[in-house]
Amino acid sequence: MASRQFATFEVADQLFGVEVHTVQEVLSYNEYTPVPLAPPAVGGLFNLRGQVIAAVDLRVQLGLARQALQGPVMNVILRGNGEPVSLLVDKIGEVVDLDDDTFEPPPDTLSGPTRELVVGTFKLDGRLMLALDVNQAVDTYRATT
Amino acid sequence: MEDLGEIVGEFLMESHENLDQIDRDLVSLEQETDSRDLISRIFRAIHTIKGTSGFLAFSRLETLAHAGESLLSKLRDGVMPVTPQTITVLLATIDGVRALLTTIEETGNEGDVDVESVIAQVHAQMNVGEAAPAEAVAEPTEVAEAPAEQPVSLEETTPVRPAPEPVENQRRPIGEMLVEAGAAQPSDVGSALQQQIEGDERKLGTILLEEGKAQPAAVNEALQQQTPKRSIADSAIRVDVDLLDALMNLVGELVLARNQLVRGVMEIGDATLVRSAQRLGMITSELQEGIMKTRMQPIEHIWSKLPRVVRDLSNSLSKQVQLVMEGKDTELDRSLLEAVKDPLTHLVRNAVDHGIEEPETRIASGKSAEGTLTLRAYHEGGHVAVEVADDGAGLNVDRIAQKAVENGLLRPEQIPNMDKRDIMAMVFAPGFSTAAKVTNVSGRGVGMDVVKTNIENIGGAVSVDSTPGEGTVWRLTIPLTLAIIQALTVDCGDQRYVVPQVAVLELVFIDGQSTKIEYASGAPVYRLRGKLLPLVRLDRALGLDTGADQGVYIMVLQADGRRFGLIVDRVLNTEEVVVKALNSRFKDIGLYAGATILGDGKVGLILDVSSLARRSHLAADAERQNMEASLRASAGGGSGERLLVTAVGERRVAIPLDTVTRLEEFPRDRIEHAGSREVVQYRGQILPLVRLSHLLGAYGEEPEGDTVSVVVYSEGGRSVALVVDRIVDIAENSTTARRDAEEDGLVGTAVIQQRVTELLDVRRAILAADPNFYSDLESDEILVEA
Repeated sequence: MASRQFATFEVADQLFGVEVHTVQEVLSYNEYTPVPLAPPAVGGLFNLRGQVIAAVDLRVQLGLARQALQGPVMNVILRGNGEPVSLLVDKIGEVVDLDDDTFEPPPDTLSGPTRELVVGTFKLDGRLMLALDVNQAVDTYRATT
Repeated sequence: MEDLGEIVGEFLMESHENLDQIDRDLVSLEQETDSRDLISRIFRAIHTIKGTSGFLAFSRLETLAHAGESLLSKLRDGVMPVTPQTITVLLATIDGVRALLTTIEETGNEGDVDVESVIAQVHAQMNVGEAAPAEAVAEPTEVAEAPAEQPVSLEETTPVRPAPEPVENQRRPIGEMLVEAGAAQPSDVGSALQQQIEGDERKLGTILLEEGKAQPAAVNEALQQQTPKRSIADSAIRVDVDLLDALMNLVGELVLARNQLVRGVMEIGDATLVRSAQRLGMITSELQEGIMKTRMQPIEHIWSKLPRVVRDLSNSLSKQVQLVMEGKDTELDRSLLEAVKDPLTHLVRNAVDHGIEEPETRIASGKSAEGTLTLRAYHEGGHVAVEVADDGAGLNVDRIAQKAVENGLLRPEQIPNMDKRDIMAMVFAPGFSTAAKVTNVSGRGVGMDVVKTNIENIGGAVSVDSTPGEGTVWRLTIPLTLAIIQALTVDCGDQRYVVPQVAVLELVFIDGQSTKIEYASGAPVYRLRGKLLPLVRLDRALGLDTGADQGVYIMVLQADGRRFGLIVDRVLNTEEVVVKALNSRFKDIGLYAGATILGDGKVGLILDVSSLARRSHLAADAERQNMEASLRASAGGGSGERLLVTAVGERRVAIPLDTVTRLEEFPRDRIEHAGSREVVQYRGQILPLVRLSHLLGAYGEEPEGDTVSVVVYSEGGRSVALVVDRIVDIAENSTTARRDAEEDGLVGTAVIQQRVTELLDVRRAILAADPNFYSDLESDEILVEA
């Protein structure tokens, strides 16, 4: 049975996951430089070992209110297309091995911005994990209507 | 055999460097034929290569180097004069050596590189030189004929081996120097020495000073003389780039750890710990910066090969070219240097081939026979500019236009309306060449477009400007990515921003009393030495809350030839910052030239001064500026709102300039359809178009041409484009006569420049293009001013 590894994290009590190989690292950081006039989904910039990384606020991408960037916020740093980009999340979860037979396409009842970011649902014990489309999730020019 | 491999590797690296130096020296030698220093230096370098290759059993290399050495020794001993022919043969020898080295590097042995023909050339040259020195003397440039006939002086015959370098590194005793300079008495020095022997641990200079036996200035001078001057070989070492990258990563990790530590220490609040942590923080930042600087190299690195290129090329074309280099020390990140190398070489070859004329032509047009090719590098407005300027005939705009039409790049009717520079820019189009004949150097229509692509690949730009009869300037603008610039850090709101110092002319503190901000009909201005300076509030430009008018600073900035004042809360200090490229998602904002890591480890945004000026509607394209300038001259400076006047059919429609983001031209075939709307792809977005002619019901001929003129309006990340037939002018609305609108889509009509002009209802036009344009913005609580 084919299985894949997912790194999981929570936003607004919902469990999300991205495939482990897309993740560079996970870290907590608390100093973000806001970028005035940037798309609203941009949380800010931060310094990752001398590299300037853009943090994309997953809450905004999901159509929720912005993260208050006070105090440490968890970053899931994705390898991205050529340059790393970070997703701001509420809480980091575990890395889980998931069999393909626990996968289902997103439910029809799921609508709104979340629907566009999600490729499918994994049925875990006791809860559901939404698998994110990494490229969509970091696309800050995606219309968030 | 691994050891040998390493030795060979080192030999190769060293030899390549030596060869580059020899190249340069040979070219200089041609200019200064009697420079003994140059000859000895070249001789030594070749001798080293010969010696090492013999040791490593590269016999062909050794033979070749030996031949070159023999010829050189004749030059050095004055048996033969230095002639251009000799230099050519020597350069050929060097090329042969280089070819052999390359083969060795690739295959590990000498392969079958042809050295015999080069050696034959060398021998022929030696025979020529010896048998008929008179022939060489006949060369007009030749001066050093005398030594060839005289018996060689003793001093010059002996050194088969180069004279040893004078030993400079040994320190002379300071006492001796002071006595020699008459700054101290021998007896005093003697007694001071005695004290030292008896256990006084102070330095000799200190003893003399403290006992009043010598003047501080004299001791200082002696100390400075004492410090040995380091030769280049001593002051630089070779470092593996991979090692540097590894170090850079480690320092990065260190910065992160430092930040965590500093945070932890702050929580504990122990004063001593805080101090140590701060010190650690500072050292880490300096270390980080230092490591980053090691990746920077002066542009001289890629320029050093060009004298040879120019020499060979101008010789083969029988032209006389003098190469001048300015700003050799301008530093660029090594990866950028690599990317710029080939385009630059191409531009230089092109300038020699096509730019600079034959000596006869030059003399006929009243110039000196020798052309000048100037390479110039400097920092400008947050970029590094590299210019290749020649004083040749200049570009023939008419020919370019004609050629562009022949190649189907332009249509004849477009030409009269085009700016000269736009026509010149056609030379960057693929497959374009105006060269009357194809030479082996250039003129095959490949090249300029490659130059453009290569430079654009690293985010730079190429432009050309030319004055007929006076020359051409090719300019590469290379982005600051990773470059280090001098910058001012400023505070605005609660954030810190970085302004490139090149753009800053002066700083003014506004105390509200002797210096204050005034308003001209709502527009902030400052009287700078009697002249009004338009002001831009940084907080407002960034869409932040507007701050006070007092206790703030005005940075007087210069960009695109326009001067303006930027109001910031506080100016902190100047520092050198390492510029990092910003993610492409921020490019469209256009306000930031990049980002940098500030001293405290936070990210700081670097402001793009010219686009700040542009966004604040101060500066515009050169064209628009000219319009404004001429307008100012005629209008004598009114303070009305400024309008962009466009032509739509037969009508003149004015758009308030401060709602305009950009003026663009789109090729007609890029217009696509989405539903019933026309759209065009623009900077990664879908830009809805609205034709003002349809909106206003203007009828008339659809304008001809392959492109459409549009006025782009953006706000909060959304943009729409208004299609007009033509941009006419920029005017100030002095509101002489004005009527309210009777027609949909207009707010009124006015007389502007003696003609009735309709004023566009911008909001209405935008909604026609994108009905949702404002709904998102308003929900985000951004105030719409339109």
